[in-house]
Amino acid sequence: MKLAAQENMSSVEHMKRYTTQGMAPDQGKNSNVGAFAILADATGRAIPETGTTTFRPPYTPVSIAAMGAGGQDDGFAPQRFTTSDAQSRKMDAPMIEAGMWYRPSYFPKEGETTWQEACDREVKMVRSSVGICDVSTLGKIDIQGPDAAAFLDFVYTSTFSTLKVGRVRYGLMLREDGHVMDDGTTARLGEHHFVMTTTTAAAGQVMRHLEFVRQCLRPELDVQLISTTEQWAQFAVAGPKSRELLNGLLDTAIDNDSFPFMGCGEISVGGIKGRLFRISFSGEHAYEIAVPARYGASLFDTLLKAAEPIGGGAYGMEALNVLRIEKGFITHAEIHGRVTAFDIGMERMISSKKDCIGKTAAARPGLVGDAREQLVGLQPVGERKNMTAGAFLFGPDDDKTRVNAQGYSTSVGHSPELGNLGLAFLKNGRARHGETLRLVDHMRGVDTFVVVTDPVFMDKRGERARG
Amino acid sequence: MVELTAKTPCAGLLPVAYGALTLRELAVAHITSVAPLKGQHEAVSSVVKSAVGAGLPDPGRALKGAKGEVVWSGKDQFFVLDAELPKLNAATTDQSDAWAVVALEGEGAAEVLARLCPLDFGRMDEGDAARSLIGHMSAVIIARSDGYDLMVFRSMAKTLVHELSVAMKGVASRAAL
Repeated sequence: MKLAAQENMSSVEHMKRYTTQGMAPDQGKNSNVGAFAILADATGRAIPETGTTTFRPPYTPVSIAAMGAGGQDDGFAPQRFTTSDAQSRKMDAPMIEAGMWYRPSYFPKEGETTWQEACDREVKMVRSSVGICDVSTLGKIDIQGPDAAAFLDFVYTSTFSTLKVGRVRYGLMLREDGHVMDDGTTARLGEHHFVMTTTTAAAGQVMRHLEFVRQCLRPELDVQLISTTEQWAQFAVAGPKSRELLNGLLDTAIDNDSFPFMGCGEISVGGIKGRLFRISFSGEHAYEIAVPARYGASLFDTLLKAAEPIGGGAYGMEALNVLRIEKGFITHAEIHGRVTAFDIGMERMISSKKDCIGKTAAARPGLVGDAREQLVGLQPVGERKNMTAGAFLFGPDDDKTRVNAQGYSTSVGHSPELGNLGLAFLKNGRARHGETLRLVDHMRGVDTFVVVTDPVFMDKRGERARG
Repeated sequence: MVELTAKTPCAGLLPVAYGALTLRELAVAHITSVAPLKGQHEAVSSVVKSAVGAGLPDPGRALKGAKGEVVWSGKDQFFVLDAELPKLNAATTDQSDAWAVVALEGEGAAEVLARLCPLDFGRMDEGDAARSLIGHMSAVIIARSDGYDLMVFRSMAKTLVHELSVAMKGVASRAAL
């Protein structure tokens, strides 16, 4: 205060801006009185001559209790339930939270005592027969307009304007700073009509991002967006018997010509119009079938009844996770906000023929090259087999201290066929396949020798999904 | 032949009543989102008017027609309730299954919403429409003569009924004192 006076900030308004006095949580209500007195003293005036500033509401503190009112118990946050929720709980599936959604962890069968048994069985079931999984929680964004394709070319790293009607393409979306924001598939339903799928976790963020691009960055484009996540109940039907199962239910049977890998189109089930996408997050020959949400519960029951006689059934998040780790498919465990397309081995998806959000920033020095931690697979090689996500990678003879860490694991799962598998980021990892390292989780007491591998553990050429 | 059965978003949850306040699920035959393409607002409005009996309303309004209602639902976006629409020069999507639609009615309805929503209900007249929050849920709110029609995402129906029930109970208890 004295310094302010000395610097000739002797007017209260100048003093306030110079010192930021009165800008704290009390908004000057209490502190101003003392501050003005000191300023008056320093400038040899009385307080009325010095003047006072006006303090603004809130004059009295708002209690945390008032702000939290209604936030107790179920009022804390909305709960989002899928149409298959009641049936999943009836099947004793423990539900886990995914954002605000509740999703089944696994579906225990008589005689199974651990989740691991159920998970192993569900993985084997999908690989050998057919599994059903509610995927309605994934974000769906309807994109329409004459410039819809140009809009997608701008937000996705790869080209979508060349996608044929009735086909689906995998896409990667970057943030302005060049890091990966989200991934998913987008289907072209018509010349000017696309439907984008986002991950469950990033659905809101992607919708917000797209609206920002549409309204602020590319207002000249004639394109409209709306979420259709809640309109459709969508189920993955995955496994070698998926088409057999669907052909028992669909009003018109499908084959490899009408629904090739990455194909999509309208279907009808029990006279109800729906959509079918031949996409796969398990690496198997798989589909996602969507019907208006009012029929969701009924379709889930119908799918389960059709699956059981052919050795199929429901699978949950645990099995879904193992299936995608076996295939090296990423989730937000990998694209956690600090990784680039280069890190996950998808830099070639950034098209050289066009611009897209994040393209320039992704090419900055330091965001590509040997110094980056790159996506790899891990498999245990020693006596100890246990691996955890969030553990650090060290050279076999290095001290297990921070400065020696060469990377970290992001996902682990137990493959019934291949044993424990992990995905990790490792410095210059793509050039180091075959190297043996130590995976160390100091907190959980894990210290396991692992070999660095390709992140795709199974069916590297993707033949099963095309089957 | 497969036979699929339909379920409404609030099945098993509604109706509920506390004092003079009631909450019931509304059956809306169709909900179609309409977002006119560039320069097509007037043309789309006149086609909608001939199909519904009401054209595209101003922001913050809902217009009733003989065959349905057109509700403003955001920037350049409208929800057409009940009526079926011909082909439009607009982006349209079927939203019929995406929303839990409920009617909150009776003396004190505005007080109930005041506990959950930041809007000034004293300034909402019949036929006013707003996008706002009910608790933490994104909602469409339409003022009626005897209360409000509320729309939130289908998956949140249970939370909607829970939050409104708690608020209704509070307002009804106060009125009974």
